[in-house]
Amino acid sequence: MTPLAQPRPTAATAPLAATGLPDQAVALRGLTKVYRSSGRMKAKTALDGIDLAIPRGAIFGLLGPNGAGKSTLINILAGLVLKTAGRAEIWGIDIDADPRQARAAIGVVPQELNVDAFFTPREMMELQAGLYGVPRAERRTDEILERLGLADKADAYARTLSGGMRRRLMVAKAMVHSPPVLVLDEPTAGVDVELRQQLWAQVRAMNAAGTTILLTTHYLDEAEELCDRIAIIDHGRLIACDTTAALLRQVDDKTLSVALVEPVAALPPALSALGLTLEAPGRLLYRYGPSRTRLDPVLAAIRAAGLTIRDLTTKETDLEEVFLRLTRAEGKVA
Amino acid sequence: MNAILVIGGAEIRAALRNRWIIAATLLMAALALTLAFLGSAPTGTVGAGPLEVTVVSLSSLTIFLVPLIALLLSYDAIVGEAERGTLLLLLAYPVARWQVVAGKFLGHVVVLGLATTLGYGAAGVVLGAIGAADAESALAFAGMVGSSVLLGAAFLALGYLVSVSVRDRGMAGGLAIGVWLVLVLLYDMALLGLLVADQGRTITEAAFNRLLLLDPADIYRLFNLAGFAKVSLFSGMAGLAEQAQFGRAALLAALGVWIAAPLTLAAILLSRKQL
Repeated sequence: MTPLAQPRPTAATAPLAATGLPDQAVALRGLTKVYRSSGRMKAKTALDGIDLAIPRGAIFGLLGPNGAGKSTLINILAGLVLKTAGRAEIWGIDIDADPRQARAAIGVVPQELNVDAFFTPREMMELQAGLYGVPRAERRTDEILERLGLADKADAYARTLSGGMRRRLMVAKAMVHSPPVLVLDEPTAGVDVELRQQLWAQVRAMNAAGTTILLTTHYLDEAEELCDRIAIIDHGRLIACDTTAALLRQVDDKTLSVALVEPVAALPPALSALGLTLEAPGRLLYRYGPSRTRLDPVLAAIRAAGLTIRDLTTKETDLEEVFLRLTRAEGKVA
Repeated sequence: MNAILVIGGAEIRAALRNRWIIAATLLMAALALTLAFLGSAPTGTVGAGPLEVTVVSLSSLTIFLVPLIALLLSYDAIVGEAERGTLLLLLAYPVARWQVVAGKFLGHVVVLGLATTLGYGAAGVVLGAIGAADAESALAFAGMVGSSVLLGAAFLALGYLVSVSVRDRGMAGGLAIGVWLVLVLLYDMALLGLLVADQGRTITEAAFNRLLLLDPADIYRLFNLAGFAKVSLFSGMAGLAEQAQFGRAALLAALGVWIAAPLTLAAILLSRKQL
């Protein structure tokens, strides 16, 4: 796949282009949002002093349970929700000082497939370019449609597009003004495996071309696969922000599964004392912290108990485990 | 300004694509031509009557029809987009919320204006071609077409106000019907009841004239049925025309207020709305 062209300086980014690119594509300091009470609804703190820096050029994952504050954060960046306190900068532009330019520096791909049935992809792209004030001579409608595999549908009514095509069209629309920062809100929610892989490839291509990606997703394997940095928010608070590898290392937990040649009815006491468990008559489980525990003595104890090992497998900690541990811990604190 | 034109252009294109403009134009042309040729039927003749008769008939019809079309066009302009999820996306672009209201309103005014001008214009052209009009009649007809667009714009603005005030389309639809009922039917009946009950003790002629300004449909009625001498003879409002306190310019200005005030309020409400 050919990557999309490098994001070009727009009206929003031009001043920065002269002075160099910002180190942080998005910078939040003490970002707070309190929704006032209304009728039966109590006042709610959706974001509570979030400090967050998204490095330029990253694919940054924003994770959190439902109601954690992800949408509020994105809506503040998109200019749809007014923050209560704190500062937010997009591509070095303060969203309070220059909201229009800040909005021009960001492209948002919403989760919902909002396409107007009576417009063609080309018309939608042109309309969006008009709203962003992109001069006709600088528009890249055909180029973007081509890159996202929609060139042959450029003049078809949107109602004839499949779900996958609509999803790609939403990405294409968000790229018309070459934003240096692209927000993808649950981009693969409800899509099939093939399209998911296509979208991942396109996200990587856009990132390779210089676009900073902010991704929210409920699929933790997606975040693990795509993102080089991840932030987890819960109850409006930032509870983790690190590289994906560092987050995975946070949980020092691994599981060894031992398949036996001969099934056993009960676990020998020596193995039980080591912490092994009998998952099934022919399978033992052992949970351990790889940084603290060596496996040699465990395997030797199994053999010493007269058991013959047929196969060994280990299961690494995945992001889901990290996520659950962190959010559960946060839930207890809250 | 560019954003307003882009949003307005999109509304016009959508109305062309979904056949709104064609349907409304054909409806208005059919009604205008029917009234032009059969408007004199009650007098025992069939054929093109004087243009003033057509102005009277069409004005009476417009008071019911154009507000209805305008409200149908506009009641879900904002709340409908909000329900479909497209409003949030639109507001995420570098456009101000008032520009969204202004752009969509502009587009809808052009849609309604095209349908009215082409539809009613068809009857005007036919009647002009067969020589049923003189210069003053033509002016009255042109005034009727132009003021019909303004009346439509006033109800479009009211539709926008409805659309930003509620959270779902169903409620917006109900409220729009309510606005139509009150301003097109009930207000006049209430005013008539008040006059009969009052027997001229409290409500003076001047006060009555001012009360008429509180309803855009009445302003339109005054402008077209009492604003032109020859038309007022046919409309049976010559007596009222003699006592009319407001000139045509004042009446048009009053319609302008009925456009600007609800639209401004709608823009303010949308700007303050928590989405």
